[in-house]
Amino acid sequence: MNDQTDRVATSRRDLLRMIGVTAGASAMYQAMSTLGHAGESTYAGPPDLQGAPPGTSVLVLGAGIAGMTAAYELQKAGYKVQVLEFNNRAGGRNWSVRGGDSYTELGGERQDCQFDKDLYLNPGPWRIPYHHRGMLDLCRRLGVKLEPFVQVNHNAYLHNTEAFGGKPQRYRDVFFDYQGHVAELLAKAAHTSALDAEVSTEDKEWLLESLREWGTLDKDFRYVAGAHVSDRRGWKKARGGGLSARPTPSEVVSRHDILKSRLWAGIPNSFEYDMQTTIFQPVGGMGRVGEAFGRELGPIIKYQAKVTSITQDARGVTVMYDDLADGGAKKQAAAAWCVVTIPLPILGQIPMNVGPKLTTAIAAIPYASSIKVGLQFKRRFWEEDEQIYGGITYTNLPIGTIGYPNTDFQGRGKGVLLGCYIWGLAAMEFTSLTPEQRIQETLRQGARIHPQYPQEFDNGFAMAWHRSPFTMGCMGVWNDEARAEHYDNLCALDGRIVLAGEHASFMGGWQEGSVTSALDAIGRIHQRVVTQGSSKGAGA
Amino acid sequence: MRIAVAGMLMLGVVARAAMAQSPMDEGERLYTTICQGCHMSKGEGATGAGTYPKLAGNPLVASRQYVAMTVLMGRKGMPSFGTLPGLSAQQARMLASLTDEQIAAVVNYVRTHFGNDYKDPTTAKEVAELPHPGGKGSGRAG
Repeated sequence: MNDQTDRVATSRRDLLRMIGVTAGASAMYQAMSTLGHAGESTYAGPPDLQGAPPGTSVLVLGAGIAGMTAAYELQKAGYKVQVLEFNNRAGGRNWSVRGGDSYTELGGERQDCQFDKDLYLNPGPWRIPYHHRGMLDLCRRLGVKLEPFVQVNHNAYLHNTEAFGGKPQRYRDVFFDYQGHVAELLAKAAHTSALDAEVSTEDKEWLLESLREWGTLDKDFRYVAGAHVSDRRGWKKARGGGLSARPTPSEVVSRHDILKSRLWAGIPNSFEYDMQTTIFQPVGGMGRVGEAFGRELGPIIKYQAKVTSITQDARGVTVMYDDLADGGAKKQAAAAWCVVTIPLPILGQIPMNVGPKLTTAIAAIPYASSIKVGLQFKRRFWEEDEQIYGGITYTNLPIGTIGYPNTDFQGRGKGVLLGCYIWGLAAMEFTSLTPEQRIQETLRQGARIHPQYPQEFDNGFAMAWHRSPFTMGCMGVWNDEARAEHYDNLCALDGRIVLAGEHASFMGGWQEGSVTSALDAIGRIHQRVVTQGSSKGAGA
Repeated sequence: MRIAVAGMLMLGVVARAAMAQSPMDEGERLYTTICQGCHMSKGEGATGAGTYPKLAGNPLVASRQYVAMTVLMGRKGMPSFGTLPGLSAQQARMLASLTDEQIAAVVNYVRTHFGNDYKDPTTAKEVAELPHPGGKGSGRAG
């Protein structure tokens, strides 16, 4: 069987090598695309924006990933760029909250984060999969170091209050028992000729052989406890060395109990393209990207600027803003072109003279509710007591997710868990609570999975994205209807104004959507500048 | 995928505390567990880079149809609390749907609290007759 697998793999590699040798790299790329190996991102490297009249000006609204990507590339190409940002920091939703940070949400509740040094919560995005090439390239160019993000931890939990008396189950046990039982059933079907209309005799042989491997079935195609099964789901009495170390196989959970538990619902999360390995996280927190970007762009970012109007005419774009660093003084900035990355719930309230199609599109996209709660504990009990190193536990409790830190394993100090990460109705309910209530509720629920919570809790930080003064929601939610009716209009250049951001992408909520959206937007501005021979604009 | 909100509320943490003192009506329960996330506990709204409109003393609240339509269809960044068509399972998980009865209850609550004192309650029947997401001629409210 293994020989056969290797043969198949080898022959495909040989084919690729042969194409590479005889027809050159482009044919190789084309062949790889056909075989499903390439075409993983629309990112094609840093854009070539040469040829604009020197000093052509662009005003960028928002210093998040989209805005700073646009500013960075435009500036490199010789454009004169200014960025206006509402917050007093760069990054937008790319953000890590650390000890000493202060955050006041809409409604006035202020949180002063008390995490220990080097501990953090990523209130927004927390992972970058290997095919998000735009984000990876940004990290490389900005000198942001990466480390693995653990998406699947076989020793983390799947938990359902209605299954196994509410006792959390190890992912490994559920995964392999579910797989083994499915394999056994399918083998039975094949043996009883139920599949004869579907598979040839030869294919049936291969199918049975593969089911035995895949599901760890015994010689009679049964999924039963034993050494081979314990080699996957672990042992009841562990293996070791010496006289005391003879192992005992673990028990298998019955097919009925596995199916009834619904815990299998937690398995496919990691099947999604954006969740497949390898996934990365920046060392020190996702916010390192925004911070590095902010340093790179330096003084061209004007912080604490609250945009109040956006007006374009034949010459350029004028933006009025309140300078919150200067007592709210009314100021203006102007440029020939404007890239607007302001989240749609806010942008929809700012007077802007664009066409009705864009105005309608901006108003058409609601923003999702989302919550993240970070809990600092006095010790890393999930590692010390439960051997959970990084990864994710899924539960049907409203807290939804427990994320374990994917760094500093076996650290002796405190640790910060992601105690709650949710969307939808449960997130709306959490939003309605005060930050302290959110933390207490997260502790109350999470203690059903980790009873150490009350004893070990130190302090917390609770982010409710609908209470975020700088986004008023977490991310744009598109449905097919809205996509068909509004997406092209939202992205289209309207005179001298173009939108960019995750909301203007097919990768909602992912930073890669912001990067590729920004590059697409400035590419189209550049095209217009080069073909029109732009005026330099009013000059910012 | 229409989810009856009542079944999914996590026994409303806020609601639970309040219920200890007095029974909470459906409108109040929905307001305190969903709406006040943005419109705040006294209907006062909030302002950052943009604004969540206040419901207290807002002249637009005079129209029960306007408020019901806003809840049903959403408005700008505000999600629709009707049932949107064409959502993937993942998208559906990001939103919440209320029944016509629940929408009527919360509209009536908003229009009789926070200093609002309108005497013309809406009904589930009236809400049912308004355009719903995905219905013919419907579109998100401006």
